[in-house]
Amino acid sequence: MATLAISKKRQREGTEHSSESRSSKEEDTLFSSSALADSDYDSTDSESSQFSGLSEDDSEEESETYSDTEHTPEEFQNQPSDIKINEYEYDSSDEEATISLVCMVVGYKEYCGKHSNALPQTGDELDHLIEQSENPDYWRTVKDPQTGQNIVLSREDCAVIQRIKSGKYADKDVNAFNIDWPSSFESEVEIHPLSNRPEDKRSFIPSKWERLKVGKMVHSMKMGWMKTPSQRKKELEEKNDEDDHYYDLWSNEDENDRSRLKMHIPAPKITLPGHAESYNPPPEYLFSKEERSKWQETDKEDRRQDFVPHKYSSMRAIPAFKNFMNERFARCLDLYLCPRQQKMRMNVNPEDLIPKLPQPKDLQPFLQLRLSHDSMTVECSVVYTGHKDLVRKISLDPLGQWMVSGSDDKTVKFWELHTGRCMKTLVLDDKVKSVAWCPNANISLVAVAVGNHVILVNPGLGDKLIVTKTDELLAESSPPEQEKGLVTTWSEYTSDSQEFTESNLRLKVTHSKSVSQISWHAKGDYFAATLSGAGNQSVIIHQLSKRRSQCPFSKPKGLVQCTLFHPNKPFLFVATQRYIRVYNLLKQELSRKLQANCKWISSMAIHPGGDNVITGSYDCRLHWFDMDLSTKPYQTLKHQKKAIRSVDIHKKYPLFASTSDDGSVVVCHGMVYNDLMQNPLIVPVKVLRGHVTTNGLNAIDCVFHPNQPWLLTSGADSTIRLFS
Amino acid sequence: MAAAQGDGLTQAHAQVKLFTKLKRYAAAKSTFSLPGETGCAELSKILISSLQSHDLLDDASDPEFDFLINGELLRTTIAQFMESKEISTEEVVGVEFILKQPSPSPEQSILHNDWVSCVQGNSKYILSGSYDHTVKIHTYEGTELLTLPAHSAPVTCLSWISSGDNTYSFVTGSHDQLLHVWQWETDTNSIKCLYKCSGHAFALSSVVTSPDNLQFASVSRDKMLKIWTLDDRGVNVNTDDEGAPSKKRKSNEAQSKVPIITLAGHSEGIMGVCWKAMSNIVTAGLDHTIRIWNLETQTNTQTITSSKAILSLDCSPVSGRFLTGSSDRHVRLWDHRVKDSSMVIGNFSSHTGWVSSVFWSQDNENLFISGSYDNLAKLWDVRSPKTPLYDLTGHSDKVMAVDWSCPSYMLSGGADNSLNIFSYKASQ
Repeated sequence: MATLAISKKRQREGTEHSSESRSSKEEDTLFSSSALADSDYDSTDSESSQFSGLSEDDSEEESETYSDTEHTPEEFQNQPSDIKINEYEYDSSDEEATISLVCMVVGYKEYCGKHSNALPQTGDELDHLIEQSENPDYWRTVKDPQTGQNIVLSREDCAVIQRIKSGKYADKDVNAFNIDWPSSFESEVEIHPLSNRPEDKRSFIPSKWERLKVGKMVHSMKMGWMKTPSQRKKELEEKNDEDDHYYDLWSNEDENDRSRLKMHIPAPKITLPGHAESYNPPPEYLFSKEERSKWQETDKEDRRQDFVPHKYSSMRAIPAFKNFMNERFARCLDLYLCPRQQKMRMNVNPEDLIPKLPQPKDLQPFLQLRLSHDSMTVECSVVYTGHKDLVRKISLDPLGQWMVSGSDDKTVKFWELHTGRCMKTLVLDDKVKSVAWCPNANISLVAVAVGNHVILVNPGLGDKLIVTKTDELLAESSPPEQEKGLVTTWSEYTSDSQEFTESNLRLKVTHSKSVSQISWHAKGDYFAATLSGAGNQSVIIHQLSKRRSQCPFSKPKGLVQCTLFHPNKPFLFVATQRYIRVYNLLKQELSRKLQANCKWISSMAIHPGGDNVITGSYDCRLHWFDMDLSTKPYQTLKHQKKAIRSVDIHKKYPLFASTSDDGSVVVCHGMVYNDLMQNPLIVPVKVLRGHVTTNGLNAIDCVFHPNQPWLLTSGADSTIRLFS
Repeated sequence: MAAAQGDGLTQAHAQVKLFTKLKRYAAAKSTFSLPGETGCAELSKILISSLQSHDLLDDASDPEFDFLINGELLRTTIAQFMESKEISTEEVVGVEFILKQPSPSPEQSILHNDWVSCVQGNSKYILSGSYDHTVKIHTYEGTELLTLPAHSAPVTCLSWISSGDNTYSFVTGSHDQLLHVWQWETDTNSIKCLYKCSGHAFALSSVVTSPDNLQFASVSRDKMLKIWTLDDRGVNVNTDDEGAPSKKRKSNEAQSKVPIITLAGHSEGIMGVCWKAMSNIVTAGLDHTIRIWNLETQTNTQTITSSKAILSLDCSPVSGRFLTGSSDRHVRLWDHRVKDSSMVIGNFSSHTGWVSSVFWSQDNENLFISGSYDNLAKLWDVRSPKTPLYDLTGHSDKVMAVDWSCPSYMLSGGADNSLNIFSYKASQ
């Protein structure tokens, strides 16, 4: 009857199942525990319709369909509720049918998985997925294979399924083993023993073995073999205290070992195999006969490849590499024996090694010159022409308006500085070795070194008042009593002589040897004359006001090149060929000896601050001495390729210059700081080339203007040039 | 590369709008699209043809034109100009055309015995001082009228003071630290020294007469600015014995004179002085400063610092701006009224030596001449800072002084002992 109902239903639905012409029996066997269900399927069927939640029409049809069942219509009326009505109460008489239903439900999922084709497809996977996420009851919704409807399992259904899954009876009230066992152990204390057997004797007698055991333990404890737990704990603690439980494994390792760990050098990598090593190398890698014979002939060490490339038809044909172990061993030896050492290579940017030079514009003002069109010579601003031979020495008046120049053409010329106009010319009877304008602005005097004489000239330029005052001053100064053994003789040009009126010569100091250089003291009363080749009389200091000369040194100190007065202290600098001696004139002692690392000092200039001296030497070097720093040169400049003839330092601006025989005049920025901690800053700024080389000589002398950043150079081409 | 650039230039066209402020040609306004390589000459041709089409040119006159773009004279091609000024070629460039300044024509070269250190002309005569201690007076035709052994040292500065009918007076200064005031009768060609002004310590460097011709100011290397009058103020009567002055005057001897005002402030020698207004004097010196002095309060009202030692100074009578020639090759144009950091409003660099002298045009605010140690004098337009209008050649040595006091003559004296005269006829 049940099979009939199913077949009927199937026909009505008209699903694809009909294609599977399966007998109702086969269908039944698909369901688990179908054997149970078979006989009472009708009742199950009727109940399953309760889950389906069919529409009324369906239910009518259903009722029509199931009209032949024994169930009463009241059962159907209670359908919608799955909680209130416990259908299991009704079928208490027939439990097995219920079980079969549940089993059917539980096995549904597996069935679906296996026989997805067997059931009508309602919705695709996507619908399932949406359903799964949206429907909170999805987990307990199953599809009734018979009706194709979704059934939501009630809580009771789930509980039944749970019980079945855990191997219990589906009905919780079922008692399979309906036996009343007597309980032998209970909480109630019986007053009588269970058995009547008297207690053993041994339960009254102390155990001998226990005594022996305890005795043994006591003995061992007495002997100290065995310890109580407290003792043991204490001992352990003591032991821990004694030697640290943990210790630093690497404590003995010194810094070197650690640095070795830090500076790990990875082993060099083996070169990757190339085409020649391939089992199927390109034909150009394969050896020809000649190559092979050549390879065999060469020594093992000389071979470029230590193997012969070979072609194999397939990977399968490649033999085992027989040198594998040897190769690995050789590599291990390499790694082990070949010392790998980290080389400390400094990654230095070459530009960082160049000392940081300040920007040229920070060094302003220096001479701002323009290169002339041939870009080899610098255009000089004013050229003073008139001399007929090389101009040995130039000197400026303290205000920078006039210039005096002494030349080998036996003349001294006075120039107006700004215009380049020669104002006066003195013709003397020998080559002029040196000229020096008195640095005191209130005295109008120029010292001229000619032959053995120093001639003092009043040029008569500048303020008339000063000119006349100077003459008065010279007239006032008393000529000293002529003593015997004097190194010099002072003589006066009489005021009516031609030299006095026309050439303005005033005084003449005659020496024993020719005078090579004159330098004034800043106050203009003393001047020092350097004699060439006069032994201990090489330096003679003259005092103008008293017309007295003195020879400060008793012993010759070498060939004196030049002398210089300190600008504000009573020091005299005497440069010999290699040394500069600084004498304290008050204490009459040598206070310092500067050592120039050169062979022949040519000239010397002192910074207006008095602590820095520069010297030029015939071996192309210019030395800057910082007297606070050392007796050795603070800096040595080698910018010129030939002998340096003269050097000069500007009195106001941080500039110094040097002239050389190679025709260049190098102007450098030489900043001296008031801060004693800061060393002078020396930067070359300009190279001037103006003079024409004549007889191997070029620029002879250079002098800075006292106020302006102008440089005057005299040259062997008998001109004087002003660079601004 | 250069060729490629050239191609680029030829392709670049500039929109040029020609206009003028000249009334005669005011009607001619037109806009052209010109290739970038167009220069002054091409522009001039275009303009003339355009003017002819407007019937603005009478056939007789043949004017020449110069072109101003943004107030600067066009001296290169339009493209180069616009590139240097970063003017976009998209815009229409307004080009103002003006009449070209005619070139000065050399007239005379008067030879002296020594370097000509100073020169000044007035309407008829040229006064020149020389290093041979003399002062000479010439006519513009070159005839020497007078040689005056004025000083005992090279004459460095001089200035005309006043001109009567037949009486002229002038002041000369020299290395002998004296200023002499002279009176010259043209009829008799007789000269008389009115005053000997002593007070300066070093060589005089410049002297200038006040606008009202009653005072003159002198500067010297002794850092002093001294003001002197032409009347009896400051006449030194005490130096000689008491009742002497009247006697002296009778005996036609010069009276010695002291300055009425002495102003100190410069830290080095003063090289240039200029009377800006009746109460204002400008000085400039080797200490790199330009100082403006107020004579009424006798104070230094403004100090402008230059970067170079200044050798010469001139103040425009038209615009009141200064020019300085300094110990480099530049002529600098200053405006002391500019309140910005830099008062240098122009830098004229074409000389290759120190600029020893500058002189403004007396009637044109844009023109000036400069003389330099590179043997050249140059005529400049303020609007053309790179290139001068004309080079006044002729000297074979340093130019020591230039003068343009008489608008139709430019004078230059040099170290080649010559005094050159150029005639100049200003365009309308």
